[in-house]
Amino acid sequence: MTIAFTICSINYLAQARTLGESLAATNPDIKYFVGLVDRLEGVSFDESYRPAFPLVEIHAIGIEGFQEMCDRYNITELNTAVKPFYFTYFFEKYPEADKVIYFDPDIIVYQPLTHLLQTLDTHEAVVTPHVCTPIEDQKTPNELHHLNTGVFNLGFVAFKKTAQTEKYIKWWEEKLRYECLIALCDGLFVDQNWMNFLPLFIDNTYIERDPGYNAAYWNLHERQFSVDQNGIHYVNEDHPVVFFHYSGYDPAKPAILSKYQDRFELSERQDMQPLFDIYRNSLIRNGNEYYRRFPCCYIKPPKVLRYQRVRKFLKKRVEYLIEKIDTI
Amino acid sequence: MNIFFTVCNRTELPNAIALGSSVKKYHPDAQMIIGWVDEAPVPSLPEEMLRLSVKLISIPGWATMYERYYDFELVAACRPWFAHYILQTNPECSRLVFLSPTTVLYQAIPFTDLPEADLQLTPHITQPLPLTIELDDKRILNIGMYHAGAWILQHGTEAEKLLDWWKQRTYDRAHFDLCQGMCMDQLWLNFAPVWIRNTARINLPGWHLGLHSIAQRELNIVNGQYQVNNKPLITADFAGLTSYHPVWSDHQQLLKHNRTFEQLYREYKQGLEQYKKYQVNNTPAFGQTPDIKGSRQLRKGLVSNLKKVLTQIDEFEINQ
Repeated sequence: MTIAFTICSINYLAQARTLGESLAATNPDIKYFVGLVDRLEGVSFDESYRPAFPLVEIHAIGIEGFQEMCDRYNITELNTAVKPFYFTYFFEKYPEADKVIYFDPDIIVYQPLTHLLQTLDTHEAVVTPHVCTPIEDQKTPNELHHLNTGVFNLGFVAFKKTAQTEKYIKWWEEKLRYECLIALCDGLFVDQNWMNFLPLFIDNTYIERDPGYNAAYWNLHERQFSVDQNGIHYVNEDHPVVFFHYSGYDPAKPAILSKYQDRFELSERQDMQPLFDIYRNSLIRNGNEYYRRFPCCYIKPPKVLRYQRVRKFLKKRVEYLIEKIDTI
Repeated sequence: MNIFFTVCNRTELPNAIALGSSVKKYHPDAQMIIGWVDEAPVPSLPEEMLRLSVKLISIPGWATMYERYYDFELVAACRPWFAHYILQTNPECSRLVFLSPTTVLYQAIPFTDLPEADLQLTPHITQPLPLTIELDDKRILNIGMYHAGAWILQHGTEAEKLLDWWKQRTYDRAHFDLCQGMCMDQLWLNFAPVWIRNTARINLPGWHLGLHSIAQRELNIVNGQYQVNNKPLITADFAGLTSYHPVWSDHQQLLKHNRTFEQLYREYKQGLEQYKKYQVNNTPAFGQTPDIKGSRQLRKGLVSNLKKVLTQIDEFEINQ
């Protein structure tokens, strides 16, 4: 049995439903779950917005020290830090599940995952690089950004259940319990940069370079899209789009391909328009406007830090000392 | 034919000669080239080693490049340029082996034991680091998954394309600036296994022992021979110990965790004495000279603690 799951808060359930719908249509044998970094207690959905997929609330999966993680992390960090814990949960709760796949909620699966599952028959894990060929400009994101934040995109990762992957996931859990931070100067970028270790710690990791996998704004320089008369979407003419990652897309701003990049305008990439039309319509149909109104219960109120002038004064002295002492 | 090469300026010339001597001892038929990022007059090299001046390899915009970098960054940035030049001018070369100048061979490299691949890289670690030492996993994320001090490339394969890509990057993006995703030539190697499908990792325990790996490998002396995890020691890299290295000089204290490696280092230092005549005074001709103040480790420790104080001042919550 294969499980696929995503992680989000209630305000992102339109995306999670869109992903779930696409999986149900293309991979009906894969059991889909939504890991919910939120609480359903006291929440009631209108009839038409009750998700058809099981929602697994984060507080219920038995993460030791979860409250401390909530205190430690902001909502982005928390959402990404729980990923390995969900892998452990699914492998333990469903012993018949020998393969577990994670997808970010803003993904649509367009094809059966037959090849991926076959790859997992002979490999312990599968990851996709952000880019498979060099980027020659220095716009955003460029190669340096990927070196800082991770060679592999963690919007997707698949594990087969083996002693080695369980050990790796346990190690990943301990890293993310304390160091799921955006601290680029310290080598940290949430859950993602840690995954650079995967092919080193698990030699039998498969690096999937098929351009139909995890196509997204960061790799459009190497991918052109087309659609045939049967409605099948292709990359670079002959690779079916297996799954597309719509990271940073907001249906309220349909002209903007992604808020995280400045390389491409959707208006100049007409080849992508059909894929984005599908996504926009799906999100609207699946209640994007409805769900986004639910505030996430794990969002903390912003810290109010008083006495800024006193802090500035104190810091000036320390900064002076640093300047005098520091060396290359 | 196998070609070994290293790249240095006057700071590590004696180290480079020591490396060259060990290469010629165990691989007498191989060619040894020292890429020279300097222009000081020095005594002739041992005759079996070839000095290749950076001026000869004609890097376009060389003056701009060398003004951009500290001298230690520049030496690293020039490595892929030398590699590319060596392959272009030596069609008979079948295998190109790069070793940093602070490396030394303790036996012949067992090429037949290495995985067959167009490109062979040296991972810093292949399992999580122990939690108790002064080097942690995230430091590796910061500096790159592969050690740029040891790699092997097969001539006439896809891997050669890597050099062309790599040198374009190190021309202007090989600073030591971890916040910007740069660690000289090294961090770029994270992409190598993606670009070059037939890339392999060298996992022999005796390969490239250094501060990065001594916490995970057991070095012993058995019958007068150094062994790593009960296998013969092949190469060791003393980066950060005899001269400044932006990463490994911060981790010199690791030496104390492994007394046998400390002994190996002492022997290496003694061995360097015989190459004293290759020492050149004054600062290297190319690249900016870094101002490295005395008691560097102490200063770094103090600055690290003061930065924590800054964070405390920023984040301290005062309840009213």
